[in-house]
Amino acid sequence: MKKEEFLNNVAELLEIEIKDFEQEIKIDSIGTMTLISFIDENFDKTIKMDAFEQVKSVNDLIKLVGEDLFE
Amino acid sequence: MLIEYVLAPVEISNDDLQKKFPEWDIPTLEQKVGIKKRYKVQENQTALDLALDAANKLFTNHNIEKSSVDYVILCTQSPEYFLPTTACLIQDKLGLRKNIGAIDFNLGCSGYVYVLNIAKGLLLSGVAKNILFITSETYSKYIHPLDKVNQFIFSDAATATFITVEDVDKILNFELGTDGSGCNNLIVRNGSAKYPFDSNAELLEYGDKNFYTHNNLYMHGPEIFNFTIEMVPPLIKETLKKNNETIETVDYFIFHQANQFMLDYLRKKLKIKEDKFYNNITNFGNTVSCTIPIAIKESIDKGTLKPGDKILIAGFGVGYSWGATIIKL
Repeated sequence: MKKEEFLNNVAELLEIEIKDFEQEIKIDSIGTMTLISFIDENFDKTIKMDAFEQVKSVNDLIKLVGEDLFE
Repeated sequence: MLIEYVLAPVEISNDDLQKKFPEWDIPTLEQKVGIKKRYKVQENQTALDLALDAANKLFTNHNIEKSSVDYVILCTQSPEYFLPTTACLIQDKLGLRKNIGAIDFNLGCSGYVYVLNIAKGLLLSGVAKNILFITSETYSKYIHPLDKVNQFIFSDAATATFITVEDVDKILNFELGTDGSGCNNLIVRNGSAKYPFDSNAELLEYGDKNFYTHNNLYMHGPEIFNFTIEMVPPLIKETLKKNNETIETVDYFIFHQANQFMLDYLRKKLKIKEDKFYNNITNFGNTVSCTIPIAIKESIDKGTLKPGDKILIAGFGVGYSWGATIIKL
């Protein structure tokens, strides 16, 4: 998956507007569960909920998933 | 194996909760978690009352002679007293024989799998021929009135199952697990031996303005979610392996109905087809140890399950405790 596509998916899943990779995003517990499911389905990677506490932007999410898993 | 269930009499809709907590985004929660209504007991009603109702319904609907019961097992975390054992009261109130065994055991969401495990042992060892086992839970009594999330999720109910020595071959091999290090993540801390009930307990907050005290039920949702996604997939794989089955050869999967979102996640992760997977928490809520027997009964009544079907059932939660097996209808 390309990073731009990932950003668009995150925006759609969280139902918020995200303009760039550094924009600050707020993720509640339901949003976190939604992202865990999405990441597992698309990257075959299981991430625990507490790992999302440090996530402040889409760039942080990309680092959490692993840069090498993106095109 | 015959099953009946009862739901507690007080129905609480999402509209009722929205009126109580007007600032809360219930539509989003309903969409993700999937619950539209839940049930709670009246103030003077207990898990024992629900247990008796479920057992009487079972006896009546299936013409079961009470005198045939030679063992009673109750799975509950809402006992009538510290002592005596609630199952002893059930023996008396149902008018069962006196020369029978009666025990309680304390487990939550994994309870139905464990009760089947215990029942199979009793039947195989010749101790009992006809077992009445009941799951009954009233978590509503432990939930703080300002704890929105747990009021949304949990529901009170009881189930009664009658199992005879002829059913033994229909209960296949078990995979069980325990990790007590997770005990603080789903707990009612006060009121038992370690910490007495504290009438001046401090009001604590968690998540988005949910309140509780140590006298109440507390659930650390994210940790429970982590535990589930980490532990359930290997539990299912091991259970299939122990029974020489595969995802494809099992007819139907019934997991503890914790929440719709989590179940959907587990289903996708395990690559189970949607039509072979029970996911219906909508009209019941999370009834703890009752979710699996309610799901089995519902699936039989709706014609989803038919005689001879192989069903993988899996329970997981408070403890942490987990277990799974395959049953044949």
